[in-house]
Amino acid sequence: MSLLDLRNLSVDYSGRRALDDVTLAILPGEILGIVGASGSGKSTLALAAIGLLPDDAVVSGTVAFDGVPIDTLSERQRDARRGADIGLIFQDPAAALDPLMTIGAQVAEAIRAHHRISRRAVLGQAAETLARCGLDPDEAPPGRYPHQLSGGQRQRAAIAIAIAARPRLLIADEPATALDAVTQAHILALLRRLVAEEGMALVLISHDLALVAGVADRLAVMAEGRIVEQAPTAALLANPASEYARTLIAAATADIGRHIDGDDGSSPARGGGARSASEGYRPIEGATPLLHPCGLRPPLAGKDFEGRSVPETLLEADRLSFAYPGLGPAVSDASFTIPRGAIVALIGASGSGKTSLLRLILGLATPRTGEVRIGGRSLTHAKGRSLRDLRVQVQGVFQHPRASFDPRWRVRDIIAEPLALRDQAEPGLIERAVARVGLAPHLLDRLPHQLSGGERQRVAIARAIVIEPKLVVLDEATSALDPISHAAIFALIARLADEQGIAFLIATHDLVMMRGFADRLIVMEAGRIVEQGATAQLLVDPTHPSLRALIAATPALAFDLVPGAVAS
Amino acid sequence: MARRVIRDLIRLALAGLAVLIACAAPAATLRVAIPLEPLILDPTAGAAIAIDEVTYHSIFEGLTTLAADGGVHPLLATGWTVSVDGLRYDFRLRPGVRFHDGEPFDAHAVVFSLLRAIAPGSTNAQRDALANIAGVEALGPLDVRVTLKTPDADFLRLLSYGDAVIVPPQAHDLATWPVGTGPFRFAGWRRGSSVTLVRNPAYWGAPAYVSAVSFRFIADPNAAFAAMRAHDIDLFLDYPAPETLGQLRADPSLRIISAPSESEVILAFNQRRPALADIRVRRAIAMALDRRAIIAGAMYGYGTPIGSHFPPQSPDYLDLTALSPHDPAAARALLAQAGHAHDLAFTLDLPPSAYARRSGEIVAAELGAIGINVTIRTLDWARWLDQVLKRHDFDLTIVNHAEPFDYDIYRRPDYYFGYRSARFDTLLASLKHTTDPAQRHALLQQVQRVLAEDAANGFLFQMPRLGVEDARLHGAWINTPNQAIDLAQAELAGGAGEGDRALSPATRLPGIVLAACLTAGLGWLIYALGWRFVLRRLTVLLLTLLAASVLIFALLQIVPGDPALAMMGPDASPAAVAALHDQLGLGGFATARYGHWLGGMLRGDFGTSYAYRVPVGPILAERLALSLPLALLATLLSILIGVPAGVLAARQRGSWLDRGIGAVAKVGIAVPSFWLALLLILLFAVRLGCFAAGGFPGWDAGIGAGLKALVLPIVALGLPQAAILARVMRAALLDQLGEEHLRAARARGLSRDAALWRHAFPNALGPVLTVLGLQIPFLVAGAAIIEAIFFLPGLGRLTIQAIGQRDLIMVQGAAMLFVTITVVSSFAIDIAQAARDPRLRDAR
Amino acid sequence: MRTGAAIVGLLIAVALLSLVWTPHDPAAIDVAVRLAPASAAHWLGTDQLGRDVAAMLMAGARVSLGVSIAAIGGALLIGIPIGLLAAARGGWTDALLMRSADMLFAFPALLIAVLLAATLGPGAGNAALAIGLFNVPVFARVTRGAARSLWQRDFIAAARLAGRGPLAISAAHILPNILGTIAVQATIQLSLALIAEAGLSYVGLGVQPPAPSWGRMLEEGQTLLGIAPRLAILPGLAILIAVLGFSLLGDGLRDRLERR
Repeated sequence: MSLLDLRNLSVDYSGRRALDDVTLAILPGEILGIVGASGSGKSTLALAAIGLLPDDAVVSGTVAFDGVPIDTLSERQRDARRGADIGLIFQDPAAALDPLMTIGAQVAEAIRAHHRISRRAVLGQAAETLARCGLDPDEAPPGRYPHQLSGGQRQRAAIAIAIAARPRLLIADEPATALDAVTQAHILALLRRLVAEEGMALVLISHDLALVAGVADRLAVMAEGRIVEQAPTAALLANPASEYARTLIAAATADIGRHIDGDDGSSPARGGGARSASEGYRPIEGATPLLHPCGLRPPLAGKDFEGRSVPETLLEADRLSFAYPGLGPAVSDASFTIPRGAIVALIGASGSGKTSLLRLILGLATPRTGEVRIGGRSLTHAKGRSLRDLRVQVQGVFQHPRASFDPRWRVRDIIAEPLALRDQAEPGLIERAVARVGLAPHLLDRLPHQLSGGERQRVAIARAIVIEPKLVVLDEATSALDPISHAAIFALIARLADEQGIAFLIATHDLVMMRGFADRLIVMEAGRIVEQGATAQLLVDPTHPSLRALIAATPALAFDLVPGAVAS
Repeated sequence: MARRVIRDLIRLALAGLAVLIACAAPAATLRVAIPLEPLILDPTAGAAIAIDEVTYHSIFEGLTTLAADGGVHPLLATGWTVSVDGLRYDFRLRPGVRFHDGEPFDAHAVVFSLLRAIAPGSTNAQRDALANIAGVEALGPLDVRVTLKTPDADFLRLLSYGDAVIVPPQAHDLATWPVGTGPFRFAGWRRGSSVTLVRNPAYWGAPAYVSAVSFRFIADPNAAFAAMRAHDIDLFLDYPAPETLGQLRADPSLRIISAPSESEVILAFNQRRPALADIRVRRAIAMALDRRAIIAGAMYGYGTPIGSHFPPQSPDYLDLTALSPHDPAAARALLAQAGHAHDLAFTLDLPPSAYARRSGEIVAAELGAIGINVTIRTLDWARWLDQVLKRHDFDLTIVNHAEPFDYDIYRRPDYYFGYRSARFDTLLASLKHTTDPAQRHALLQQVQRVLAEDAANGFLFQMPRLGVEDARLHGAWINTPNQAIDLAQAELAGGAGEGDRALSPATRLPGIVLAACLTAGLGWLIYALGWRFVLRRLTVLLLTLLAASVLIFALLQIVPGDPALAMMGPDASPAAVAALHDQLGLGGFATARYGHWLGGMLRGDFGTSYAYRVPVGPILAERLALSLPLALLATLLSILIGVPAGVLAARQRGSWLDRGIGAVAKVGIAVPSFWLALLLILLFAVRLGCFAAGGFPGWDAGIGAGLKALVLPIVALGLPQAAILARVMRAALLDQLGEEHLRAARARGLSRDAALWRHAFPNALGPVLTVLGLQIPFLVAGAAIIEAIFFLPGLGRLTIQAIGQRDLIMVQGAAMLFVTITVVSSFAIDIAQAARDPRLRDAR
Repeated sequence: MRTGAAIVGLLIAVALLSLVWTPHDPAAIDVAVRLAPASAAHWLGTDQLGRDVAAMLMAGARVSLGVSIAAIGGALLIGIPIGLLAAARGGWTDALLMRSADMLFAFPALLIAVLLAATLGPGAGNAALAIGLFNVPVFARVTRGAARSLWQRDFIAAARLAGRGPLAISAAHILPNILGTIAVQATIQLSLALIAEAGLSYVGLGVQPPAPSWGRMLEEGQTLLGIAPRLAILPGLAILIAVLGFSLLGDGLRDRLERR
């Protein structure tokens, strides 16, 4: 008999359908992966399963645990089941922990909510649970408050809370998304171990197919509130029945060239909807396969990306250091160069100093020591006129495109803003930039909130290239996008680099994409550049342990990047 | 520290017990209320009428006194002889008289007192008149000779004024501890509230009937009315709320007094202004005035119309009202004749008293009717004295001249209204030398006629001596020809009044207890949070205070108005004012005075009040003992109501309860607390009568009595704050209820309520604490109006009063205290937040 | 929101109407009909000097709104640039400006207003000045806080990349985006200013007679509570409604702002 049984479950929030006729069963001890883009109803599913939907949700269909429909239970009985039968792990451990309570107390609270146990005894049990979840009592004792822990430790604490009362089913809703790749891998390993040890069933919810596929026995693919497809993992990966699943798999394996062909609005997953993300795109003219069959960009004309004889250095970062007032150093002694027209990837875990370094490159922050030179001229010490001249050459695209637009400005004005750097702007620059990023001209009169995520990112790139800079800096510029838009944006960047000769510096933690994309890699850890060099070389032969761990922890790389493939 | 607190607590309990016992004892204190508080208690060093009202005839006595008919009678002198040239007076003194301190009264004391009054640096208000004395010598132990420079028919009357009382040569601080020969001894003074006198058992004459007299100072009409209704006062003189007399008349246990007085209310013309120098304009204005309407509207019918500067009850009075009848048409014609048919525009500067303000509004309307445009400006007393009396910067003003026989002011060329008349000056000069009663009568009537004919001022009405007394009170002589209130023969049939109270040192106690609690609490927090955290914030606190002290001092240097003038009053001589100015240390460089003030404060010395001539610190402490509990209790009330209401609303979001609480809170925030106070008075004091409408008996009357007096003020202050807290609490909780960690708490099996109390509530307290931190200082300072409405002796009212009196050193001290309270409460809130939230503790 | 706007609109309409028409001259004294109850001639009766209460309330609206709006308007004009400057410059400029604002906050507003009025003399203008003075740091702080958080935003960084200076960014990006927040605060402060104006008038430091004022009517009505309670109740009610109107408007604006 199944442990959790969802039958014809539909959920509406004030007229908006979040879950649409979902039927799903979880067997004891099984690991089920649920994959879908954000907004596909995954989180609603998790909340419905545990019975914590908001008050304004309208529910139809049944949820049964152990064969007992939960709507037959009293409020008290339902409270008693949560935590005892089903544990829930949230996406952002920073938000899911009460900041005023020690982690030990929160674990203890979870135990005492279900078991009669003395205050003293519960503390020991809580400490033991935390230790079992990998929190070393010396490093992170139960008396710590959440803010005193790292992201990974916090998620371990949250997991400890979820399993404290020994539930038979654990639901993990994007448990690792907020974490960097290496920590992500550790957390997944922990979940896998706990499930095995306790004999729990696990529902692992994520937008990352590669991540889920590595863990789950069975996969369910969700889109727009429906379960599109469910099947054992291997079967689904090998033989996806739905078009949407196919697209997902393609995006996850970074097969960008194949994906671009589908970026014409014909993708089945985007067919419906009043204003799907792809509506504003035009097929990019003359889209040619951008990727080398083996996944590497072809060398740029006249360039040798082995880095031995770089023809022309565009930007030089010279021993940069930076610290926020009162905090430890964010960037220490960072030096590197960016050749003209090159795509350089800046890889590192969150908090490794990528964003700070980018702000220094962009001249948005002043380094403590060192300087940034563009074409030999110091950006760091430039003022007034000469600063404007340098700014023409370097533009940026920010992590959250929406946040990088003045919400009151129309797209046309947003894109036009950097034109002020030019003394006289030639007419048609905006139109040209819009065409280059594949944005429909009618979007120019929209406000930022009227655009889809992919459209916004194109607007951001259009703004960055409108004055035809020599270098565009991107800070995790695609992390907020669904996998399909994500891939499309990278295709765009590749094309701009090839056709316009614009150099890109891209901060990311997505090694998969960079593998087939960047000419050079710069790897950061704790504010320092620990390794840099040509992509192929570094991926095949990483020397720094940090990069090795990263490669090992990147699921997609694990299943299709083998050294031999690169070599051929 | 702790031991001291315990000791104080025990003392407080004992004091409370003593009061309970005392209340049961037969009553023997006569409670007398007058509107204004004297700032000093030495009638020879200041001009304010209130000084005489409290001390003259009760504490101090002079050589002579005035009888009801205005005739001069012996008092401390048993008799006298005058030389034929009128220059030498030989007094025979009363034997066996002793001062309250036991020293004998003799010729030496008389010589000392009179010479002191005319000495250089004397602040005696009659110094100019007394300066006619050429010499004083003791002829024997009980014989004194006074020699004058010029003959003065009024000299014996002058000696009957409070300014000429006999003081003991050895006393050094009469202003704050008066010692005289009268039937009552000084016993205590609670600044801003009351002065207590006790019977002098060793009085040379018949001892007083009542064992003590407590003078209360109530200027606020509403508080006066409330006090009389509650029978808190046995005798109220110069009752400031004539509009309520009709209601009091219905009470058979009260008696309304409307006695004639020496007070003339005039519309003064500044005759230095060209338009007002024109007699036709002055006469036109006089004819525009409808005295009946003014008396009806401003005084509710209490008052007698006058046509000149003279009181109607005087045998020398001449009714001249017919000389300036109410005739707007004639007035307009006169104005046209003077060439000012339409172009006249005057300011009318009014002192803050109710009679002046109400009269002023009517006068402005009446002058408007004859085409004169009047702009009213209401000034506080200090500003009125400075601007009108001293600098003559006004067009018109309305003021009550209360001095007897003060027609002399029309002769002074530098007096504020600037009347000049050779005819008048001649009349006064001959009056000065005329002793024959018939001739004097004729001369005095001529004086009145000249003033009326010249329209020297607009003469409105004689201010009656309005009073309300307990129907059982007998023998209190209130309409004495000078300002004294003679209580020597007063008695309460059936012995009402109030029991003797043990004067306990408990007044400052609540402040001490609070300070102790605060200190102990902070100590614990320092222990809990680490000294580094606390020390950093303490440094900020001290720096803020230092900066604030500079700002406060600088700010107060620019306030116009001379404290010395404000204290001396309108009738003081300029020399006396200048002398006081020096005495108060108002000269010298500002930087030096700042340094002195700051240095003093570091030693706990806030300086000496300009107005009361006592240290500021204890007065502030005494007021704080009211204001702080008031603010804290109001805060407590707002927490007790606001927090549960906010929690209930958030817990049942969207329900009728939530909507109801939301609506009440919205209205509650919009209610002005002073209006709420009025509604509470209307309901609970006027209609139901279960609480007093105002007043505060002091903590030494018992905690219960004190708290009872504070109930309505606390409610008026606390309810709007409760509404604010409820909204903040609700919003903060709703924010928290939407947080992921709340969902996480429920996911681990906590019920809705358990999650709310354990996780949402502690987190939601952050914004609530922040609001509370703003609320406490707001309530301490913002209670000023509430204190005024309920007539509570609090810090806010003290400050407003001190600004009015230009007691700048007091204002400085009070402002410093307010800033300290603000800074300390934000410090305390910082600490509390850190105790609540570990993130704040770690954020350096 | 709608209720608030309606109340505020009505108040402004009444205040404007009182400029051209009131049932009687609000300053006309007629001692003969003093303390008359409500009647056809005097809709809300007369006061202790025989003035028409309805007319005084109407004209009082003009004074209360005028003083409050002048005070808040002035405070906005001074406070917003200070806040923008503090946010744009940061560093010691910011620290200095904000500490000065903190300092002003530490002073009891009412007492400083009393002191100010005592220094400058009472009157509508000085009341507005005193109230306005205390709102300058409020708006400086609100502006600075809102602007400061905007300065952290990426679109400001984008504007800097586009070569715009602090002044241009403040004008083009910051101000338009914080106007809503400021408008909300302004309505709240307006409601507080109404109470403050009434309070100052109550202690005799506001607008001078014969110009009517709600606060002074309240004060004058206080001793007459036993005879004619309406003289104190009506002006208080007028204050309450006006304050409620502005605070409802502020709440509505805030809700609307937050929904976006």
